Amino acid sequence: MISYSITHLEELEAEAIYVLREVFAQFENAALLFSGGKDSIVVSHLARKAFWPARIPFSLLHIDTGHNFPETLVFRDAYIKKIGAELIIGSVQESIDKGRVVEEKGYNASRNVLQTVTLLDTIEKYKFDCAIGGARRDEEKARAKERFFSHRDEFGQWDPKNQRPELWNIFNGRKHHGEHFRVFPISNWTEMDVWQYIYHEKIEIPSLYYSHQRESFKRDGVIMAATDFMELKEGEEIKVRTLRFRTIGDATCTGATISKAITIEEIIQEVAAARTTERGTRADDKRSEAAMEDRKKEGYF
Amino acid sequence: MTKELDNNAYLDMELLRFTTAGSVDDGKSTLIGRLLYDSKSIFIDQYEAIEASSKRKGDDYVNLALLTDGLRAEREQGITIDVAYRYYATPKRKFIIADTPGHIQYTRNMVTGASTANLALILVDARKGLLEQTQRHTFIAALLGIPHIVFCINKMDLVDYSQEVYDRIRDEIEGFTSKLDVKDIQFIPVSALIGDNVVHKSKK
Repeated sequence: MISYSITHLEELEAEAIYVLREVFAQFENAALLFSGGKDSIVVSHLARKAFWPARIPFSLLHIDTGHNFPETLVFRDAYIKKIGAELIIGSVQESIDKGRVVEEKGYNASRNVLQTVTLLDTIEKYKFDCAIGGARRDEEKARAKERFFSHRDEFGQWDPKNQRPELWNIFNGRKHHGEHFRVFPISNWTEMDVWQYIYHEKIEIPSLYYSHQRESFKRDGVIMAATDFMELKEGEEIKVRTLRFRTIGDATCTGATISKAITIEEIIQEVAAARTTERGTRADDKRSEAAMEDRKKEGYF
Repeated sequence: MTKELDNNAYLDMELLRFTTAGSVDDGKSTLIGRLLYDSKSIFIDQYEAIEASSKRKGDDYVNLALLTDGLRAEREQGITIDVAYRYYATPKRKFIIADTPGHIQYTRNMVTGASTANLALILVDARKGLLEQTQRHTFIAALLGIPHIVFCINKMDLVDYSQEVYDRIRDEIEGFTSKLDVKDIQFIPVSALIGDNVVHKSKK
């Protein structure tokens, strides 16, 4: 008998592709949440592989807080053009203008929480019955609890105490009218797996992930990029630092790390040596012990 | 060149998925916390977070179970409600751990976690022996066709590391599992709280 074994990365890839095909089989109108960050780039890459040579059968959905790094938007538009997908943008600014949400005030004001309303409105507007996301279980303790196929009720809420059984590779996408699902194909990937996969598959990522010079300031021990949307407190001063981002979100809540890594190999070495999690630089998780769970219950991804 | 080698070594790793099982308060979450802590897979910010919340609850030690009990209700009640997944790697292998709940009303969540596992660690409290829920979980693991089961006789520190207690529980379990169809069954005495025989070999 010929012994057959696959590496962990191949196994994870196969699992993700299986889940993506399962989404196409079970839902009528699925959207792929695309933020321009590495995780959503990997998910779209997997989706391309899953349906190749056909195009991705999902629309790409970007929830735009208006507080983006310009590099991410440039990357997003070029990427969409390259893969020939349809891009739908849900704008948080629009939700604010319509009075659906009220903007936070103060120094740590962020539109991160407001995204939830925009996301749910957009899902309702386009009648999406499924939103595919690049969330991973190793990121955060509430995410570590979530199923691949995660049910949302008609108000977009997640009920963590009453999740459905999910045995083997059987995914249950049954739902009532008005409800939808969030699906996370790379649930079982770690930050390291994502970087290894990017390296292995030679996937393009935004320049923000590589080391560069940027004006920045320190707040609560986290290095934040200086942008027009951030007000400085007294005593905070802007300095040019050599840094890169481990995760990319809204510019108001994503911290940077000092780094000289300019290639994927160097980034991988840095990730291997890291003693803090990537979300250690995310201000949005530090608001309370259960910040992620609370946001997820309301419909955050 | 070494960089290239490192990457290839990483790419060649195998994946092992395993699950914990066993009755309420037999120490499943603590065992996983200990495994992650002693194999240095806990990040500084995660450790600081559980250190702070242990202190808030008035514990005089760092409660490693808080690492996997990620939901608000779980932390408040000190129990596991749903499966939590954790990830770590050794130089040879990648691991996916499913930490499952012990309470009988959450057995369905245990089944979800166990269904994708190739190995089940079933915890047994050395003071209590083989309980109904331990039997139920063992039976489910056998039904799901998990090929390898390891019984961890936990809390050995509370029975003074008694060989007699260990042997008695082992006999009891062997009597029960003789009726089940499992390829490979092993036994290990451990103390998850202290970290005896989890990553480091016991000196007792």
